[in-house]
Amino acid sequence: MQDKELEKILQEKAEKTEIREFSQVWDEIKDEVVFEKSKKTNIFKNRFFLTFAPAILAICIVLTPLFFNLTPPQEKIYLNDELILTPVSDKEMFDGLLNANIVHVDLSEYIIVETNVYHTDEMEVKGAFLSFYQETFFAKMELYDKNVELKINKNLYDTNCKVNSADVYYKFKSVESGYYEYSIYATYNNVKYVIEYFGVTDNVMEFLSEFFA
Amino acid sequence: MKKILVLFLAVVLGFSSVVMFSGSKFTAKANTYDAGDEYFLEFISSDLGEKEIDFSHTPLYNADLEVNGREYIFSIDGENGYALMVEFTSENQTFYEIEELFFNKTSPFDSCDGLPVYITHNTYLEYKDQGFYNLVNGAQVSESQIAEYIFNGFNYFGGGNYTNTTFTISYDRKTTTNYSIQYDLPNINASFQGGCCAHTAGTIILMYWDRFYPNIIPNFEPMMTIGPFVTYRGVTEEVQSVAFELIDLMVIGEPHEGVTFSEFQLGMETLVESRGYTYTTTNLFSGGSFNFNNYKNAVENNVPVAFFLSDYNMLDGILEGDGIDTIGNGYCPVSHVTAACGYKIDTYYDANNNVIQTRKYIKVASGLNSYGIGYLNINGVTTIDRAISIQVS
Repeated sequence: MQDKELEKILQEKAEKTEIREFSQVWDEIKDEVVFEKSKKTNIFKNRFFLTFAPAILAICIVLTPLFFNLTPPQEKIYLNDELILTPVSDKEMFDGLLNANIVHVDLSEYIIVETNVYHTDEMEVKGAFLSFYQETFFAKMELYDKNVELKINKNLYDTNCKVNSADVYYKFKSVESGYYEYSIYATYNNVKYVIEYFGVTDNVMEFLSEFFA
Repeated sequence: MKKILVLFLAVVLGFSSVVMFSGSKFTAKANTYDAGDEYFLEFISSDLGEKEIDFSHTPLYNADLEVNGREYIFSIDGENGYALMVEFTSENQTFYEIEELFFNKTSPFDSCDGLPVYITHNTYLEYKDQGFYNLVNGAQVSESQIAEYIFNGFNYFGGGNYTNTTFTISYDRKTTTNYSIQYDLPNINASFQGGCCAHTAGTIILMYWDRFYPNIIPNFEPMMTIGPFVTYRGVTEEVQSVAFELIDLMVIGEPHEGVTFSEFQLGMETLVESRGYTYTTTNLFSGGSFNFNNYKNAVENNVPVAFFLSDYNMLDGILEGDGIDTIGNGYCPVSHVTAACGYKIDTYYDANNNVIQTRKYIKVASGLNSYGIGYLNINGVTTIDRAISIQVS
C-alpha cells in the first residue's frame, strides 16, 4: 500500500475518534489510582549526619569568633640596621615620608642641613636621617616608621617623661666637646625619633617642648 | 771499585740537599721561601725583630677538600706558636690572609687525624670517614651547617640581631680616661645599596683623611660649620659615590656577600692610590693578640683604626648608681668591620684604693644605625680578628 493512501486512512480514523472529557475518564479510573508516599527522610536519623555532625559543630564553634575578629595581615617588621641610607633632596625626603604615611613633627621652623632616606632593598621608604639647627642647638635625627624595630635599651636613659603626648627618653652624654650633648629617644604619633642633640646651653627640655609642640 | 765509589758519592750528595721534604710537610730552610712564606714572615716580622724563626707548614682544606691555605707551626727563640693562613685567588693573583696567629698555644688542628678543614673563623673541622667532624667537641657536622660555614667564610657582613646583656660592678671610687681624635669620625650609620659594613667603615676612614688630602673625595668638604658647631657632613652624593667605588673595588674573584680582610685592603689601597696618595696600614697586634697600647698610640697620633670582628659587644650605656655601675651591652654574633677613633678607660677601686677592675672601651664610628658613634666593649666576648691603623699620605 502506498504511504499516501495509508496516511489518508489514518487521518480519516483520527477524525472519527471521539475525545472524552477529563472528568469522564477520571470518574472511571479514580478508584484504581494509588499515589506513592513522599520519600522525605528524618535527617536526625541519617547515619552520615550523625557521624559528622559533632565535628562540623566543633569547627563552627571555633571559626565563629575568628570570623568576627578578622585582622588585616601583619606588616613586615624591619630592623633599623637592615635599612639602606641614600642622600636625597629636602623635597624628596619629605615626599618619601608622606608617601610612606610617616607623619612626622613639623620641621618648618628649623634650618635643615642635610637629608637622607632610609629604605629597604625594594626602595620602600621606612624613615629618614637629617641634620637641622637653630641658633642655640644642632641636632642629628633619625626618624622611623612604627614597623622599624630599634635596639633601644630604655633602662639606660636618665629620664623618661611625657612631652605633650610624646613619650620621651633622654640622657646626658657629655659636655666635653664644648656643647651639652644629649641622646634622645621618643615615640610620637606612631613615629620613632632618635636624636643626637648638641646645645650651646643646657636647654634640652626647651628644645623637646618646642619639637613636640 | 769505581762503581762503588760513584754510588757512595751519589748517596752523600743526596743527604747534602738543602731542602728536605717529608710527605706533605714543608720545612723551611734559608732562601727557599715561596710567596706564602714571605707573607707569613712579613706578618710576624714585628714580633720577630732580629730573632731567628724555624717554621713548617702543612695544607689546610676547604669543604671540597681542595687546598685553601696552610697551618704554620713555628718556633722563635724557643717560643712556639701556630698560624692559620688562607689563600684567595683571582685571575692570576693570589692573596694571603693570616686568620689566626698565637704564641704559646697549640694549634687546634693538632688533634686532627683526617684532613684539616678550615673554612670560617674560629671553626676547626676534620674530614674523615666520609664526614666532617668538629675538632673541638668531636661532633659530626651536618651538611646544612657546612653550607652555613661556607657562606660565612672569612667575610665580614655587618650588625643586627643584638642580645641585651647587663653587667654590674660595685666600687668605692672610679676614674675615667677619655680620648678621641678631634671631631671623632664621620657618623655614617647605615649600609649603602649593595654594600655592607666594610664599605661603610672604609668610607668613614676615607672621609676623615679627605680633611687632609682633599683629592680623596673630589669637590667635597667633609666638615661643616654651623654657627658655633663644627661637625662632619653626613651622606652626600659625593660620599655615596666613594662608597659605590669601594663596593666595586673590594672584590677578589666572584662577587659575594660580605667582604674579606684582603678585599678591604685591596679596595682601599686601589682607591687611595688612584687619587695619587699612598695607603699604609700597620698591624696593631703583637704576640698574636690585640695590643691596646699600640692602638692608643695610633689614635693619639690622629690615625684612625679599622677593627675586624668575628663577634662583638657594643656598649648600650653605663647607668651610674651610688657605688655601682650597671653596664648594658648589645651582643652581636655577626662579623663586622668598624672604624675607631678613641677610647675610654674606667678604673674601679675598692675602699683600700686597690684596683678592682680596669675596663677598656674603643670609641668607634660603628657604622650601625643602632649605635652611631659609640663604644666597642672589649672586656668580654668581643673577638678581634685584626686591628690595623690606616694612614694616607
